[in-house]
Amino acid sequence: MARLPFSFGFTFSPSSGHCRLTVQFPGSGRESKKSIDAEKCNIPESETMKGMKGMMPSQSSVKYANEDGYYELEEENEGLLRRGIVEGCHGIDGIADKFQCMSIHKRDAAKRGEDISFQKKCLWKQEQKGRVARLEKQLRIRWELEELIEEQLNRFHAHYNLDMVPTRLKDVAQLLMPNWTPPDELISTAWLGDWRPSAILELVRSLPICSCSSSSSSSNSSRTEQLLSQLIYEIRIEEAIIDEEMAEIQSTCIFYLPFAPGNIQSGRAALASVQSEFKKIERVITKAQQLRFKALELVLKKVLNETDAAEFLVAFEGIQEAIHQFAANQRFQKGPVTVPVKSLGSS
Amino acid sequence: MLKAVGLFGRKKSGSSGGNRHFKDFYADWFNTLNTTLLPSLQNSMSESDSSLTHLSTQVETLHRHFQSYYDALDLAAANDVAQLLDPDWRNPLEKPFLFLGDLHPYLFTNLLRSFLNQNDSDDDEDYDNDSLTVQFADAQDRDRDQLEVLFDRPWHIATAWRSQSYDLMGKLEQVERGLRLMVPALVARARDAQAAFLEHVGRNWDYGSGLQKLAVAEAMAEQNEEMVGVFVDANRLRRSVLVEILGTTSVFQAALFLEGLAQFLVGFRDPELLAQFDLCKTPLGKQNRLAI
Repeated sequence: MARLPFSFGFTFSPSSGHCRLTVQFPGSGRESKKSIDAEKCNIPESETMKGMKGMMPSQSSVKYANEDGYYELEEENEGLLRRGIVEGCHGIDGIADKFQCMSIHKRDAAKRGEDISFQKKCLWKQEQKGRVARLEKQLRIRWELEELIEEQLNRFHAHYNLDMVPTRLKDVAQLLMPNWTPPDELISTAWLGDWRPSAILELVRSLPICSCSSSSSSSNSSRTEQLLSQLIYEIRIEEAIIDEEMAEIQSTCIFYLPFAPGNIQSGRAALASVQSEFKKIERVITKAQQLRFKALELVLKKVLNETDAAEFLVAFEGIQEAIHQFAANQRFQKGPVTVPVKSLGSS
Repeated sequence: MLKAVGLFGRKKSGSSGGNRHFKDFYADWFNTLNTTLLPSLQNSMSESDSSLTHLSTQVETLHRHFQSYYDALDLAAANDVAQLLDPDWRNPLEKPFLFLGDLHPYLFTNLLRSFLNQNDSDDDEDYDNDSLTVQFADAQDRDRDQLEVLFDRPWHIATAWRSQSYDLMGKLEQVERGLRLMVPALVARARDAQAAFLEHVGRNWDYGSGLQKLAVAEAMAEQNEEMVGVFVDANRLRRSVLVEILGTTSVFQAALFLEGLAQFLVGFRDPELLAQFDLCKTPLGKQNRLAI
């Protein structure tokens, strides 16, 4: 989950021409909010900007004194912000629960110096607070979205692995050719009774979502495209393996069913033979369900970001419904399938 | 829904318009197989004085009966291929064993193999023991029914597979090689037709207005057309496997092969077995299933 690991604020001191960027780390368990005063950083002005551009200390961790003794900052790759903290500050201000830092924009600020009033500073601060609040709100919405997607995925998992399981032998046929799915829907989307896993990925590829509508770069969209192609290729191989297993059962049942010429049986023995064939089919169905879920999980977790995943789920549902309605209507209008009488040779 | 169609007295619902419901056609076709053709073939096979010509006519009739079924499937495909691939006239015992609407083409070659292998295993056993009857000294209980049938059979039928030729084995292997290429191709075509359908549908999805009916109609028409091709080709495959097998086997072998095939189809509709089947629970528990 992509929550920011810290919150930040920005203050400006007209007298010194220093800006203060306040970074607040919510500690896990014990509080670990730190504060560094930029004014205590004894770095010449010219050096500060240079430092920002990458004069990193060679050591990977820098120690700061705080009330517990020492605070160790280890992560190097948090970007410019943290680098600034590490480079620009060599002292600690123990008063506040804030981790502050840095002299930036120092020259610009110094030039304007007296024009900037205290009110303006307050206004700026207020405005900044408002912006951050809006950002936070958006983030919260995003977290909610993540949760909803997770919930939906769990529902799919339960549906495929717990709801859609046969309890009686005749349910197996119902799962493979469900009554509730009109024939046209079944032939256009289904594989072993429900959505074909690779078809789910095909749908993602053709939908006007993922990076096309968002502002992400074209390199990002081509990366998604490449990933999708790769996944479709892999999922199709897994489908083919399951198809082979099913074909094996369908073509060797002539050896094992109790009315096969070499295996005529009656009574309990006959039913046991049927059961053993259906057991094989049930295994295949289970594998198919698992692959279906895997395809969905890949789409929602690996291929698409939260927004695109949510868009996809909306589209997936809408498209399923549209196809279902159309197919049901089609079935009603066409009536039962017929065959021309005249053309049939008598036998 | 079917009832509603009946109530409205749709034109297509009767056979008067020159068309018949495929479901009715299949019921008749099956009854003819079960009550007429199979018994008369079996009679011809049991009569020791039955003429070769008579048996050969029976075999020919039964073969034509199967071919006529595949012709009917092809003709009906133009009407609605989707229903043929999801046939509601098949029972829950049959449905899981259907591949593209009917028996898997491999099933025919496997049926032939089952006869050939049966003979092989007989050969391995005490072949010299009694050359006038089929060996059944080691028969287990489950084979009793079959042996009873064989008891009644004249020598030339009972030993039909003893005189197997290398031609037959060669032909079988050739047919199997062909199937190994063609079956996956059919499966891939069906899969690609679905991919094309969803590509079409996906492109036309709009977050504001949803999916337009026209787009679904177009995409489905395209997909149906491709599936008619796949289905007809699958039937062609089944038909030609039958032709190849029956063209290479002797009359006695062909009679046994078609008897086996017909009995197999009839077996799916055995009322006693179906009654037990309907009540039977699945062998896999939820625990086992999750462990797969």
